[in-house]
Amino acid sequence: MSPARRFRIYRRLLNLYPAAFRREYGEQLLQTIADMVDDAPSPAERFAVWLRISLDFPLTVCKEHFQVIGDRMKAKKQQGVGRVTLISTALFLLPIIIVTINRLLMLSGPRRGVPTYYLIVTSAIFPLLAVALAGSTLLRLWRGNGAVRPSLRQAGPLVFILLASLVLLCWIISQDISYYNLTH
Amino acid sequence: MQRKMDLLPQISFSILMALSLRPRHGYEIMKQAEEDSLGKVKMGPGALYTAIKQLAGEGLIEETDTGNKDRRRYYKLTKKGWEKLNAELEYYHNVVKIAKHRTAYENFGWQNV
Repeated sequence: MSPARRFRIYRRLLNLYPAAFRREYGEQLLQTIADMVDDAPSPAERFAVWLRISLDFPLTVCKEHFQVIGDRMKAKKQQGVGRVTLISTALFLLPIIIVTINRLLMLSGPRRGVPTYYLIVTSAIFPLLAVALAGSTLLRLWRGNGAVRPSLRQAGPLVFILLASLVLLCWIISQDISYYNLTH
Repeated sequence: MQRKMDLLPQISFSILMALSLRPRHGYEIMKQAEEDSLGKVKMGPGALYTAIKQLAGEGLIEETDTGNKDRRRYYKLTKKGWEKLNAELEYYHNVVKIAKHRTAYENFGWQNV
Protein backbone atom coordinates (compact mmCIF):
# COMPACT_ATOMS: atom_id res chain seq x y z
CA MET A 1 0.00 0.00 0.00
CA SER A 2 1.37 3.45 -0.89
CA PRO A 3 2.21 5.86 1.96
CA ALA A 4 -0.40 8.28 0.63
CA ARG A 5 -3.15 5.70 1.29
CA ARG A 6 -1.70 4.55 4.61
CA PHE A 7 -1.51 8.02 6.10
CA ARG A 8 -4.71 9.56 4.83
CA ILE A 9 -5.06 11.98 7.75
CA TYR A 10 -1.50 13.17 7.48
CA ARG A 11 -1.90 13.52 3.71
CA ARG A 12 -4.84 15.87 4.34
CA LEU A 13 -2.81 17.79 6.88
CA LEU A 14 -0.14 18.25 4.25
CA ASN A 15 -2.52 20.72 2.61
CA LEU A 16 -1.55 23.14 5.36
CA TYR A 17 1.92 23.46 3.86
CA PRO A 18 2.36 26.06 1.12
CA ALA A 19 1.41 24.62 -2.28
CA ALA A 20 4.90 24.81 -3.78
CA PHE A 21 6.46 22.95 -0.85
CA ARG A 22 3.68 20.34 -0.91
CA ARG A 23 4.10 19.70 -4.61
CA GLU A 24 7.86 19.39 -4.31
CA TYR A 25 8.20 17.41 -1.08
CA GLY A 26 4.70 16.12 -0.12
CA GLU A 27 5.20 12.59 -1.42
CA GLN A 28 8.70 12.41 0.05
CA LEU A 29 7.39 13.53 3.45
CA LEU A 30 4.82 10.73 3.42
CA GLN A 31 7.43 8.22 2.31
CA THR A 32 9.78 9.30 5.12
CA ILE A 33 6.98 8.98 7.68
CA ALA A 34 6.19 5.51 6.35
CA ASP A 35 9.88 4.56 6.71
CA MET A 36 9.98 5.96 10.25
CA VAL A 37 6.84 4.08 11.33
CA ASP A 38 7.97 0.83 9.67
CA ASP A 39 11.34 1.08 11.38
CA ALA A 40 9.82 1.43 14.86
CA PRO A 41 9.72 -2.08 16.35
CA SER A 42 7.39 -1.59 19.31
CA PRO A 43 4.13 0.33 19.89
CA ALA A 44 5.99 2.58 22.35
CA GLU A 45 8.54 3.52 19.69
CA ARG A 46 5.79 4.05 17.14
CA PHE A 47 4.14 6.40 19.63
CA ALA A 48 7.45 8.26 20.00
CA VAL A 49 7.70 8.57 16.22
CA TRP A 50 4.19 10.03 15.95
CA LEU A 51 4.94 12.37 18.84
CA ARG A 52 8.01 13.64 17.02
CA ILE A 53 6.00 14.10 13.83
CA SER A 54 3.21 15.93 15.71
CA LEU A 55 5.67 18.35 17.27
CA ASP A 56 7.53 18.87 14.03
CA PHE A 57 4.46 19.41 11.84
CA PRO A 58 3.03 22.72 13.18
CA LEU A 59 6.49 24.25 13.51
CA THR A 60 7.51 23.50 9.96
CA VAL A 61 4.13 24.53 8.54
CA CYS A 62 4.57 27.96 10.19
CA LYS A 63 8.20 28.14 9.11
CA GLU A 64 7.34 27.41 5.49
CA HIS A 65 4.54 29.99 5.45
CA PHE A 66 6.82 32.61 6.99
CA GLN A 67 9.37 31.70 4.36
CA VAL A 68 6.79 32.30 1.62
CA ILE A 69 5.79 35.63 3.17
CA GLY A 70 9.46 36.57 3.51
CA ASP A 71 10.14 35.70 -0.13
CA ARG A 72 7.14 37.72 -1.27
CA MET A 73 8.24 40.68 0.80
CA LYS A 74 11.75 40.41 -0.55
CA ALA A 75 10.35 40.49 -4.08
CA LYS A 76 8.21 43.50 -3.22
CA LYS A 77 11.09 45.19 -1.49
CA GLN A 78 12.95 45.06 -4.76
CA GLN A 79 10.12 47.13 -6.18
CA GLY A 80 10.39 49.45 -3.18
CA VAL A 81 7.01 48.64 -1.64
CA GLY A 82 7.47 45.72 0.81
CA ARG A 83 9.01 47.56 3.72
CA VAL A 84 6.53 50.42 3.40
CA THR A 85 3.59 48.00 3.51
CA LEU A 86 4.99 46.38 6.63
CA ILE A 87 5.69 49.67 8.42
CA SER A 88 2.32 51.13 7.41
CA THR A 89 0.48 48.07 8.70
CA ALA A 90 2.44 48.14 11.95
CA LEU A 91 1.69 51.82 12.41
CA PHE A 92 -2.01 51.21 11.83
CA LEU A 93 -2.06 48.39 14.35
CA LEU A 94 -0.12 50.23 17.06
CA PRO A 95 -2.99 52.40 18.39
CA ILE A 96 -5.23 49.35 18.67
CA ILE A 97 -2.57 47.56 20.70
CA ILE A 98 -1.89 50.61 22.87
CA VAL A 99 -5.58 51.23 23.59
CA THR A 100 -6.18 47.54 24.36
CA ILE A 101 -3.25 47.39 26.79
CA ASN A 102 -4.42 50.58 28.42
CA ARG A 103 -7.97 49.25 28.75
CA LEU A 104 -6.60 46.16 30.47
CA LEU A 105 -4.54 48.35 32.81
CA MET A 106 -7.60 50.43 33.64
CA LEU A 107 -9.63 47.31 34.34
CA SER A 108 -6.93 46.02 36.68
CA GLY A 109 -7.09 49.05 38.95
CA PRO A 110 -8.66 52.52 39.12
CA ARG A 111 -5.37 54.42 39.26
CA ARG A 112 -3.61 52.56 36.50
CA GLY A 113 -3.56 53.50 32.84
CA VAL A 114 -4.24 56.79 31.11
CA PRO A 115 -7.80 57.83 30.15
CA THR A 116 -8.51 56.20 26.79
CA TYR A 117 -9.54 59.54 25.32
CA TYR A 118 -6.04 60.99 25.59
CA LEU A 119 -4.46 57.80 24.35
CA ILE A 120 -6.57 57.74 21.20
CA VAL A 121 -5.61 61.34 20.49
CA THR A 122 -1.90 60.80 20.96
CA SER A 123 -1.74 57.42 19.25
CA ALA A 124 -3.49 58.90 16.20
CA ILE A 125 -0.03 59.92 15.06
CA PHE A 126 0.69 56.36 13.97
CA PRO A 127 -2.11 55.96 11.40
CA LEU A 128 -1.32 59.43 10.10
CA LEU A 129 2.32 58.54 9.70
CA ALA A 130 1.29 55.33 7.98
CA VAL A 131 -0.83 57.28 5.52
CA ALA A 132 2.05 59.69 4.97
CA LEU A 133 4.46 56.86 4.32
CA ALA A 134 2.15 54.94 2.00
CA GLY A 135 1.11 58.08 0.11
CA SER A 136 4.63 59.31 -0.37
CA THR A 137 5.78 55.91 -1.59
CA LEU A 138 2.94 55.69 -4.08
CA LEU A 139 3.87 59.14 -5.31
CA ARG A 140 7.49 58.07 -5.63
CA LEU A 141 6.57 54.92 -7.54
CA TRP A 142 3.98 56.52 -9.76
CA ARG A 143 5.24 56.80 -13.28
CA GLY A 144 2.45 58.64 -15.00
CA ASN A 145 3.59 60.29 -18.24
CA GLY A 146 5.92 62.73 -16.50
CA ALA A 147 2.95 64.32 -14.70
CA VAL A 148 4.87 64.34 -11.43
CA ARG A 149 8.19 66.08 -11.60
CA PRO A 150 11.20 64.23 -10.12
CA SER A 151 11.76 67.01 -7.58
CA LEU A 152 8.16 66.65 -6.34
CA ARG A 153 8.58 62.89 -6.15
CA GLN A 154 11.63 63.32 -3.96
CA ALA A 155 9.88 65.91 -1.78
CA GLY A 156 6.81 63.64 -1.53
CA PRO A 157 7.58 62.01 1.82
CA LEU A 158 8.30 65.36 3.44
CA VAL A 159 5.10 66.93 2.09
CA PHE A 160 2.95 64.06 3.30
CA ILE A 161 4.58 63.96 6.74
CA LEU A 162 4.18 67.71 7.14
CA LEU A 163 0.52 67.54 6.15
CA ALA A 164 -0.08 64.61 8.49
CA SER A 165 1.63 66.43 11.37
CA LEU A 166 -0.45 69.53 10.72
CA VAL A 167 -3.71 67.57 10.79
CA LEU A 168 -2.61 65.83 13.97
CA LEU A 169 -1.64 69.09 15.66
CA CYS A 170 -5.01 70.67 14.82
CA TRP A 171 -6.80 67.63 16.14
CA ILE A 172 -4.89 67.53 19.41
CA ILE A 173 -5.44 71.25 20.00
CA SER A 174 -9.17 70.97 19.29
CA GLN A 175 -9.52 67.93 21.54
CA ASP A 176 -7.53 69.66 24.26
CA ILE A 177 -9.76 72.71 24.14
CA SER A 178 -12.93 70.62 24.40
CA TYR A 179 -11.40 68.57 27.26
CA TYR A 180 -10.53 71.85 29.06
CA ASN A 181 -14.09 73.10 28.54
CA LEU A 182 -15.47 69.89 29.97
CA THR A 183 -13.33 69.94 33.11
CA HIS A 184 -13.58 73.68 33.91
CA MET B 1 39.98 41.08 3.09
CA GLN B 2 38.63 37.77 4.35
CA ARG B 3 34.91 37.22 3.71
CA LYS B 4 32.59 36.67 6.67
CA MET B 5 31.56 33.03 6.94
CA ASP B 6 27.91 32.19 7.53
CA LEU B 7 27.68 29.04 9.58
CA LEU B 8 25.04 26.51 8.65
CA PRO B 9 22.24 25.68 11.10
CA GLN B 10 22.73 22.43 13.01
CA ILE B 11 20.25 20.43 10.91
CA SER B 12 21.70 21.60 7.59
CA PHE B 13 25.21 20.77 8.78
CA SER B 14 24.07 17.30 9.85
CA ILE B 15 22.47 16.71 6.45
CA LEU B 16 25.68 17.66 4.63
CA MET B 17 27.63 15.39 6.95
CA ALA B 18 25.23 12.50 6.30
CA LEU B 19 25.52 12.99 2.54
CA SER B 20 29.30 13.11 2.65
CA LEU B 21 29.43 9.31 2.76
CA ARG B 22 27.10 8.49 -0.13
CA PRO B 23 23.80 9.61 -1.72
CA ARG B 24 20.88 9.00 0.63
CA HIS B 25 17.10 9.39 0.78
CA GLY B 26 15.23 11.30 3.47
CA TYR B 27 14.93 8.66 6.16
CA GLU B 28 18.53 7.52 5.70
CA ILE B 29 19.67 11.11 6.17
CA MET B 30 17.66 11.36 9.40
CA LYS B 31 19.14 8.14 10.76
CA GLN B 32 22.70 9.04 9.80
CA ALA B 33 22.38 12.53 11.31
CA GLU B 34 21.15 11.00 14.55
CA GLU B 35 23.99 8.51 14.56
CA ASP B 36 26.66 11.13 13.76
CA SER B 37 25.48 13.36 16.60
CA LEU B 38 25.27 10.46 19.08
CA GLY B 39 21.51 10.87 19.24
CA LYS B 40 21.56 14.61 19.89
CA VAL B 41 20.16 15.73 16.52
CA LYS B 42 16.67 14.31 16.14
CA MET B 43 14.75 15.97 13.36
CA GLY B 44 11.21 15.46 12.20
CA PRO B 45 10.32 14.89 8.54
CA GLY B 46 9.09 18.48 8.14
CA ALA B 47 12.32 19.94 9.49
CA LEU B 48 14.29 17.59 7.28
CA TYR B 49 12.58 18.60 4.04
CA THR B 50 12.56 22.29 5.00
CA ALA B 51 16.34 22.07 5.37
CA ILE B 52 16.69 19.99 2.19
CA LYS B 53 14.70 22.61 0.28
CA GLN B 54 16.97 25.34 1.58
CA LEU B 55 20.17 23.42 0.84
CA ALA B 56 18.98 22.52 -2.66
CA GLY B 57 18.04 26.15 -3.21
CA GLU B 58 21.55 27.22 -2.28
CA GLY B 59 22.98 24.62 -4.63
CA LEU B 60 24.69 22.64 -1.86
CA ILE B 61 22.85 19.37 -2.55
CA GLU B 62 21.02 17.94 -5.55
CA GLU B 63 18.84 15.01 -6.45
CA THR B 64 20.56 12.04 -7.95
CA ASP B 65 19.43 8.95 -9.81
CA THR B 66 20.67 5.86 -8.04
CA GLY B 67 18.85 3.42 -10.31
CA ASN B 68 16.56 2.27 -7.48
CA LYS B 69 12.99 1.64 -8.50
CA ASP B 70 11.37 2.97 -5.30
CA ARG B 71 9.57 6.29 -4.88
CA ARG B 72 12.30 7.73 -2.68
CA ARG B 73 14.38 10.62 -3.91
CA TYR B 74 18.10 10.43 -3.26
CA TYR B 75 20.26 13.45 -2.62
CA LYS B 76 23.99 14.01 -2.97
CA LEU B 77 26.44 16.81 -2.27
CA THR B 78 27.33 19.17 -5.11
CA LYS B 79 30.82 20.60 -5.58
CA LYS B 80 29.65 23.74 -3.78
CA GLY B 81 28.25 21.52 -1.01
CA TRP B 82 31.61 19.81 -0.55
CA GLU B 83 33.36 23.16 -0.35
CA LYS B 84 30.88 24.42 2.21
CA LEU B 85 31.18 21.28 4.32
CA ASN B 86 34.99 21.48 4.25
CA ALA B 87 34.89 25.15 5.24
CA GLU B 88 32.56 24.34 8.16
CA LEU B 89 34.73 21.45 9.32
CA GLU B 90 37.83 23.63 9.16
CA TYR B 91 36.09 26.27 11.23
CA TYR B 92 35.05 23.76 13.90
CA HIS B 93 38.54 22.25 13.85
CA ASN B 94 40.00 25.67 14.63
CA VAL B 95 37.43 26.30 17.35
CA VAL B 96 38.33 23.02 19.05
CA LYS B 97 42.05 23.83 18.73
CA ILE B 98 41.57 27.22 20.39
CA ALA B 99 39.35 25.72 23.09
CA LYS B 100 41.95 23.04 23.86
CA HIS B 101 44.67 25.66 24.01
CA ARG B 102 42.60 27.75 26.41
CA THR B 103 41.82 24.78 28.63
CA ALA B 104 45.51 23.95 28.78
CA TYR B 105 46.33 27.54 29.72
CA GLU B 106 43.64 27.61 32.43
CA ASN B 107 44.89 24.33 33.90
CA PHE B 108 48.67 24.72 33.68
CA GLY B 109 49.51 28.37 32.92
CA TRP B 110 51.47 29.73 29.95
CA GLN B 111 54.76 28.05 30.86
CA ASN B 112 53.38 24.60 30.26
CA VAL B 113 51.43 25.28 27.05
